Amino acid sequence: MARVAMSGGGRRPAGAFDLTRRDFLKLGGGGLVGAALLSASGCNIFGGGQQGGSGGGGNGVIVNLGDTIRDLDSTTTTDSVSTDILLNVMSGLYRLDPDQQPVPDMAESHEVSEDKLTYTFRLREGIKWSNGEPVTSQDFKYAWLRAMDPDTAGQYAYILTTFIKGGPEFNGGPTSEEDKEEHDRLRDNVAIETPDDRTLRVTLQSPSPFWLGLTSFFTYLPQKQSFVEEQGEQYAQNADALLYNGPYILTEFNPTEGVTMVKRDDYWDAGSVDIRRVEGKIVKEEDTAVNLYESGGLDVTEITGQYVQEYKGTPDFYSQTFFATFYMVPNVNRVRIFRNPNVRKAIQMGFDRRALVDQILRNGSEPATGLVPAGIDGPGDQTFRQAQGNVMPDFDPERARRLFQQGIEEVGENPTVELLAYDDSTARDIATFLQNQFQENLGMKTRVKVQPFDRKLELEANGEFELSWQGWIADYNDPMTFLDLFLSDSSFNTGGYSNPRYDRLINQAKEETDFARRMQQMLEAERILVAEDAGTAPMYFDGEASLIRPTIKNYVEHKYGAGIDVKWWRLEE
Amino acid sequence: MLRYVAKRLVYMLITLFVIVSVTFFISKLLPGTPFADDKLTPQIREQLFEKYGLDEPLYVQYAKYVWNVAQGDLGNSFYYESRPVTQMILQRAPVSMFVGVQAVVFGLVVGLVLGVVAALRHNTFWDTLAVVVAVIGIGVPNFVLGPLLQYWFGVKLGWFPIAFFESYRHSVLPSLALSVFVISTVARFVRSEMLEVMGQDYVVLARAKGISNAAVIVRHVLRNALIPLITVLAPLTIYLITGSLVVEQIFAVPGIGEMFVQSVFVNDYAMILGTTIFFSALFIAALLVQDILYGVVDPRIRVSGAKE
Repeated sequence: MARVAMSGGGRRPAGAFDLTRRDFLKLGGGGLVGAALLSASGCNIFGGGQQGGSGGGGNGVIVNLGDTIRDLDSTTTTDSVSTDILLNVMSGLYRLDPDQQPVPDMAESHEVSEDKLTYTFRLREGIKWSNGEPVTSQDFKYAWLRAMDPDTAGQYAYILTTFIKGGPEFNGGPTSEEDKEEHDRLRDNVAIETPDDRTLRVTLQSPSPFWLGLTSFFTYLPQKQSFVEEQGEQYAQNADALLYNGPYILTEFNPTEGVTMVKRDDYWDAGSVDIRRVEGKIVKEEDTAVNLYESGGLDVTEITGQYVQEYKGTPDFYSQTFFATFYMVPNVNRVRIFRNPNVRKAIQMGFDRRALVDQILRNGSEPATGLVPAGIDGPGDQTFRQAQGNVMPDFDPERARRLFQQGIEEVGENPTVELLAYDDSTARDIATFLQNQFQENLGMKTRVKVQPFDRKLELEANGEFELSWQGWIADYNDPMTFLDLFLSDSSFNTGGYSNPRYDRLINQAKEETDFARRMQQMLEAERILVAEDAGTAPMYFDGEASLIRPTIKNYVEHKYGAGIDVKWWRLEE
Repeated sequence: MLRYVAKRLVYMLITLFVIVSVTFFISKLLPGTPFADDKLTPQIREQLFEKYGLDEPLYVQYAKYVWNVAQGDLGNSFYYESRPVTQMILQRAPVSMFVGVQAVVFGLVVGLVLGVVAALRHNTFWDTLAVVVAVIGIGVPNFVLGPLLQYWFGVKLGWFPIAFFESYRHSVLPSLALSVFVISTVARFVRSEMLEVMGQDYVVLARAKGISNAAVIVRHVLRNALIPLITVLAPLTIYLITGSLVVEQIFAVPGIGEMFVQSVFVNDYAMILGTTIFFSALFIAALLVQDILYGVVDPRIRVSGAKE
């Protein structure tokens, strides 16, 4: 090997010397050997199970779940990722079709009593769990009771207790640790009966036309008691610790890496299920997700911001709004000027909802035209919004300023209002936007206060805020889920809005058995709340934009309850 | 030596206990609770608190917790319903460790070579190159480097996977992104230490005795230059082993760094405490190893004698 000669000039310090290639090799070789040994030992930590990137071929799709999977126990889960998965591997009495209408799934039919309170479901013949055991009415009763049980402390217990007779008493009563006898007595009083394996009878507290759609909600899913008790603490912790009665089964499940779902041939409607295999991956970083989409590593992923601008109009782009509204809440208990209707009306027309949606959110959301979002059922065949029209005033800065000035004159003060926001980059952008808009268009000064999300919720729950905005996602397909938020005694009515006329209408509607009249009552109520009183300023109907592989047809993501429903999707070859 | 190690282990346990206690109380000071859902009614919130023992007085919660930890039970995560924290940590930690150790080893090798070359070719092109590389490595942040690597080597060239952790090849880009910092740090250290040592008399003497270049470098120069390097290495390794949130998120690597940060954001007390204990134990162990290494590398530092 050639010796590297000393270069001329001799400016190197005494003691310096040359390095031959051999020396390099000696030094470097040792290090590389070390590295090689290390990598050889690491072989078993790689997620070998999930076939890398092969989901796209052979009638499969790869979906970005977006976040980690917190809980697959249908009686306690709350997060949208877990519920997305549950919707596909399990089935309730009914399932929502692509138009958000309930169609029979585990049930084959149902009957409702004259007083609209008692539902009798007839389950299909031959429906089975993935371990071969039959799906019975007791499975539903067990799961529903478990979800309502104070022992379970399920966060969605209310979705059952609000409707099922005996539910609130059971859930509000003692745990079995506190008083087993009373606990069990209250449990047995809940109005769910199973006269035989295929019949389920439930009595509701008040007439609820939308309740049928609710039986597709994840908390209403059945569970096999013997299996759940056998699994104990292990239940829902891995793919084998769950039973499946839906279109798919889980073959792989890791809460922080994702799932693999494979079509279940035992499903009663397997003939309608097109896609054989779904891989759910978790990619939180949007740039990475888009890169993966472009290279075929993902077929479905959500996008926001600049990607929406970039992909809008391309065949990969998809957007829709959900049954979710974000609305401003002025705290009338704390801020005197908010008690003045002119001030509240000024706020409603004082910020540009279109600009908010197009420039700040850029995620498929649409400006709000009322409190109840677009698409929610209305009278007859119309949606609520179609029947009601627009109850929000148009954006009108001049008129807003006049109204605001009038209002503060009447009250006699123009304080700086504290605007509560949470610490998420979108929320901060919205806060800045609102601050600017109110300053420029109304002359209302605001001071933004940023808090972590749960702290913000706490402040709102305690009424310790001045002006805030909140979002509400529909629990069911009916305007009531939004309208009853503003009842004087609702714990969600954080701003203190109170109108006895409104309360009366809403409470009447809750008991009304004539469903057409009920709709009219709700239409009037929304007019009072938004148009007359300006008790709230709806901002936008929440939306979502996604990249979806153009070969996926009939993409269905439900507007409430759980989201992606792969059963309806079709893969074009 | 053995007495020293035993004594250090006892100190380690005491330190760990203090860390656990402090973290416990600090995490309780975090605003908010693990249950941040806008649909929570006060009644359900109460039920949840009861279920997780969050309604008991603080000292009771503390006592229960310390008792459990002593038995090796780090509790169940609040965020991931009923999943044992220990299990989740043991699942995710090896991933971060692998990526981190690979980054350190690779960074060490390249950094050493760069530093040695720079020192030996002091004030020439190689020296300048090494310094420039080092500065860039320290200056460019992970969240810039990561996506760049991902785009060029993953998307454009297709040499390496873009994300996830399904085979050895998936670990290359994340390790590469992390190693750049190591390379810079090591290169700079080695270079300046070597320059200092090379001017010493005993090195000139060794050369005069006819010992080969490589032997002099390894046996004399490097060994002395290594001591400050070891000082830097322990915290560096821990930093990498515990997972870089940024790199893990960008490459969708299921490591522990990302999980830890998420647990802080969602107030998952059990997870915060569990991972803190884990990291602290690792760090303290690394410090112990570091001290032992000193003794190995430098005979002047005799562990049983000198410091205390």
